[in-house]
Amino acid sequence: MSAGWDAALAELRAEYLAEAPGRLTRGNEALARLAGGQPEAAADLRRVFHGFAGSGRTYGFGRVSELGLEGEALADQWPPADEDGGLARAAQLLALLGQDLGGGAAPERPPDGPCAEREAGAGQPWPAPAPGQWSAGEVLVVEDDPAALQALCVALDHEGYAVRAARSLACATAELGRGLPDALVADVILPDGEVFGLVERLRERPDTEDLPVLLQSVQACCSGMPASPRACSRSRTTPSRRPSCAGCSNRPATPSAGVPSRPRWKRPWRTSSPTSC
Amino acid sequence: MKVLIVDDESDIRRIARLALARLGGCEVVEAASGREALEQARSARPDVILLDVMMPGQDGPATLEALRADGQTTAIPVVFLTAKAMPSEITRLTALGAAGVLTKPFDPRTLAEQVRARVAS
Repeated sequence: MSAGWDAALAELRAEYLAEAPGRLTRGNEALARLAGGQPEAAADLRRVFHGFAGSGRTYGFGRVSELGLEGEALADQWPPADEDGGLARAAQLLALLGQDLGGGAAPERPPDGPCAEREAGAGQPWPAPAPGQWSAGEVLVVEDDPAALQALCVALDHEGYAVRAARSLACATAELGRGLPDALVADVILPDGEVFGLVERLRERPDTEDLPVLLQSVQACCSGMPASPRACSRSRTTPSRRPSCAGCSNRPATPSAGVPSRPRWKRPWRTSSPTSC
Repeated sequence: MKVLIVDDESDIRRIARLALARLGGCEVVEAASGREALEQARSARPDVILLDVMMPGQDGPATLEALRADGQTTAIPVVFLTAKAMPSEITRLTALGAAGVLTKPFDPRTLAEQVRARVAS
């Protein structure tokens, strides 16, 4: 194969990667509309996945085609029997596509190390973020239930927040090590423990002592929440329609709770490979 | 050989153009929709049309039907490009009167060769 061909192909790949975020944004927007009760958005979501299915391997990104094909089949048969599960899987597929195509990835590059590789650091203080890792309008969502995670991601994304996701304490710790978000939304009970210890450690660090934290719990009573006002900014019960008891806030965090009301920028979801966590 | 590439996805048109022009020595014209394909087919008179199956609005099969109904374009060989590689789909598309079916994703290094083979057969 001629050097000219290789150079031309590399140029096309660069264009392809440059256009990927826009395509993923369209996919996320379609997903948000689907989650918001607009089933006609399945056609738009299908088109996005269809595009990746047809082009991924042609451009040398094998897994992109596979992810696109799965997404296309999912959207093709919308609504699935388990709609929440379908939404969650579609969100995962878009996130995985973002991993493979984000940041100028080389063809066939494996995604960033799975969370399992970072679990050695679970329970330990995370490394200080490098300068410049701070990002505005970014929320880290920690939730092990895929449907709840997806619903939160969609809702936050719809409001314009950039969203990172983790499905365990270990993943959350790893994510915090990669850069501090502007707010943390976390389920209380996670597969590898309760989130309180993580929040307490956040409060012990000068750079995170004021980080807004919104805890979610299926326990619709204050008794399930830490009494210390230092522990979290807000708590809410899940699902949010659950009746609240006196003293519990069922409302999500508001600007007064310290969460940025509007992001200064927006980007497609970046999750920490929920399937591998 | 002059090839008309019809696909609503610009990334597919770009890489197909590169493959056909750079490696296959073909002259390439493009269309992003079925309607545009009909216009290009009449004006550019391609030797073969590489036609995507799934496009919004007028899809590939409907475009083929329109091409066949037009005296100026009825004889132009059409090779479908589809992401569905199932044998039943390929049989269905061939039965519509296509010269052949290529599946996406395709290998850009062999695209020209595959198009030529479909047209020759």
